[in-house]
Amino acid sequence: MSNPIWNKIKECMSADERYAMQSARLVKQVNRVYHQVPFYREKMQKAGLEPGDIRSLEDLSKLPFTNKEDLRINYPFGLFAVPESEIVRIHASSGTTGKPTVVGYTRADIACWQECVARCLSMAGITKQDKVQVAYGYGLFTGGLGLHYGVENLGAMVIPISAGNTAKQLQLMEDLGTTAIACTPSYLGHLMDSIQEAGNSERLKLRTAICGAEPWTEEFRKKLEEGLGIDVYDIYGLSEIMGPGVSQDCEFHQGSHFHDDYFYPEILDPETHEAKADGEIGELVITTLTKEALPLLRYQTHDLTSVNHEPCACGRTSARIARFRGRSDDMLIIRGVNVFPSQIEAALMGFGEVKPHYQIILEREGNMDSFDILIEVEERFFSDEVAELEQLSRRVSHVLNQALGLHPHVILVEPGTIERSEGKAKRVIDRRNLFSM
Amino acid sequence: MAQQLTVFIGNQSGRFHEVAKILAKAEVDIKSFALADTADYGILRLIVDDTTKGLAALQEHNITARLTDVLVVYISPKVGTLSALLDTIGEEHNIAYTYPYHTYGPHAGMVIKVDEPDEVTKILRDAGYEVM
Repeated sequence: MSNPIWNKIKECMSADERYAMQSARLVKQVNRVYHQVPFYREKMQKAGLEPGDIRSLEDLSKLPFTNKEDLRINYPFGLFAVPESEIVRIHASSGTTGKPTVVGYTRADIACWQECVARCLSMAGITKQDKVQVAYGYGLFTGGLGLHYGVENLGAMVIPISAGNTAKQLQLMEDLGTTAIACTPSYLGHLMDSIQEAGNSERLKLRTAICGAEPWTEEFRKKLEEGLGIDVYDIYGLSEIMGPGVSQDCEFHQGSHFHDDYFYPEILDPETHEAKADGEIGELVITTLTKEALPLLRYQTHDLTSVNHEPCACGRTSARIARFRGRSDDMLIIRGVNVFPSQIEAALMGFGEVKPHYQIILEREGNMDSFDILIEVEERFFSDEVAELEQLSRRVSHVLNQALGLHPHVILVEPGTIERSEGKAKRVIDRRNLFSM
Repeated sequence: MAQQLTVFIGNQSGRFHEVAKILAKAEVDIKSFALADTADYGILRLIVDDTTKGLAALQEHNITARLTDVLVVYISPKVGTLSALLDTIGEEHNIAYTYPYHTYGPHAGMVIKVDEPDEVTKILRDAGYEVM
């Protein structure tokens, strides 16, 4: 029995219908941002473009790109295309340089988001008969509230427990008869361990999980399915575009169905920006076709993937993206927090003119990221007293926590321990193999 | 005042041995030592006959080492002498760490690290102790 399709008309459109809808929406969107957002008007004028030059999806490639830096420069509301009075909700992303990225939603944007999440839930076989435990964090993070409103829109029962407190999660799961859970894959892995330890899986009714918000592998998805005896789905989204629900895989797990009547995905060569053919790896660039509050034209996600426009066995005809293969920049995602090596560098500058020799080592221990930082103890940091060396560890931990919101495990090592190739130390060793296919 | 050779020992097998070999090769005589260990590293504290030579030999091998001012105070090997020594130093002077110098013979003693070495040296000498 295949899973239901929430919006058959939109999700199963013919290629022609889809193209026509995307084109019409793009033309309207470009017109709107040109007249409402000085940032876009200037960018288009610089490129010698007028709204009339964009007549269909064919013309998308003429438009300028946007990226996270644009959001940062225009913090907080500079890229909004509606008056502040039209904004009904704000979210913000975590762990970025300096200020967070603020995103906004109009009532229509929220409706679109609810629609997209309801589609995802349906794709995962969730119906109004289900009880969905939303174990994503509620608050400025898009995970909790994004899933919450989607579940309500679908008509299922939402259990808004938010993230953390595993004992309570398991108790409510058992007492209320939770049938589906939405959380990060690493947290589901943690729950799996706890359930196996408690030995209460017999008393649970859990049958589906929707996981996202951090990079993970197909192998780990299967491990979760086997370990818990449930179906596990991979939901994708980013706050700049909307939040969770931009795309998700169906029961065939052959790529992530992109809700491309709302968000148009391009796969481009990261260097030349030439379009890649289906199946070829490139950078995912997204254009929001209907977003009112924060429309983004050709937003560079830096996520590397490929696209497949063939209709899926499930009946959906939307573009599907493959599992991510990595990033076109050097951004790391550690425990769900976006981290650039430059932030680590900047934070360690607090140690005076010469920063310590350091190396970050990321590994997956069980289902969690371990975040170790090796610090070479040179003479100027060395003390004969353990308490003072511990103070050094604490200082490193503190400055990194201030900058990133993450607690690293500081390991003091002898000078020369960190391998140097051509005299230059490799600053980050990522052994998590998150992008292996 | 005595100087202690203090060496950072990373948590890798053979590092302690490596330090001992370097000092042996430099013909530095180790009078006494103590190793403070943590989960990730150790701090080796040594009293040697020639600190300058020892330090230079270790630094040449890119090993983190430094000299630290410590007190070496001689005590007679009898019941109650440690207690009496601590009485003399008094509670207002914090002892960061201590380890035995020699525990036998005429030069039995203690290595003591305090925050105010000059002041404590004077107190001990005034009380009749022999301080290196």
